[in-house]
Amino acid sequence: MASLDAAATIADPLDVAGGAVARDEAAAAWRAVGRLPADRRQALILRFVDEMSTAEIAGVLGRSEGAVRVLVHRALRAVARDLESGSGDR
Amino acid sequence: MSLLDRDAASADALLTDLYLDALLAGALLGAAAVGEGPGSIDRDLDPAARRAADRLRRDLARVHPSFRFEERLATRLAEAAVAMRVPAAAGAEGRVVPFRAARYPLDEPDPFDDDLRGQTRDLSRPLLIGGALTSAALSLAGAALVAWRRGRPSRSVPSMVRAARAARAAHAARRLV
Repeated sequence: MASLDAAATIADPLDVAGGAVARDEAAAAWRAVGRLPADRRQALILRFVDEMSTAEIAGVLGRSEGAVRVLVHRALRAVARDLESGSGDR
Repeated sequence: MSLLDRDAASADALLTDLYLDALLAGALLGAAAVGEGPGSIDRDLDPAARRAADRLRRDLARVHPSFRFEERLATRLAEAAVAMRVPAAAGAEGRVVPFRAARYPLDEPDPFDDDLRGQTRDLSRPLLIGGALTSAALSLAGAALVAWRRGRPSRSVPSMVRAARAARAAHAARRLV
């Protein structure tokens, strides 16, 4: 069961400024993902959007599970660099 | 890349994978909301990868489970439809083949008759009428042949039949006398 403190993180539907910031951050995340090479981008989308397991992604991409783990890890580090450098906002 | 580096990269990737499993399963939602780490995985994990994972977990739109259910249902229905089509394609069981009448253009259509221009004559009705007339004619011919054969006995009557007829004629003659 979630705590009451966790409920405070739910976005207020009337908070227009907060909604705009959330949308802007989501767009920046998508832009950072879009700048990845195709195989890394595909692996991240399968992992986060389709919520596939590593084994499922390995089946889709035709790679070993170890290779998919490394692919996702490197993709995450690239996204982190992109977002922290601020280039994801452009 | 040396073997040690490769092992280190694989270990980092494995840690990231474990963290993502827990994160996407929702086990870390409560802890992340209050700023607590998920334990040993969080301590050993690359901070940049962890921050990126948290950000993508929050910002990327996820596919709702109902959509996945609909996709699976659509796939299963498509497979069932394909399975039902296979026997029909193999043997065409139960398929109705329409009878197509032979058609040919009118011999000399009236050039001033717009209704008949370009029309074709349907042969199905004359064929049916002709077939019925031929069948009736054959039936009448057969009935006439049977009547003629019964009224005019052939010469090749068996001897027993001839003996019976002779005995019947003699008996009738005696009764008359």
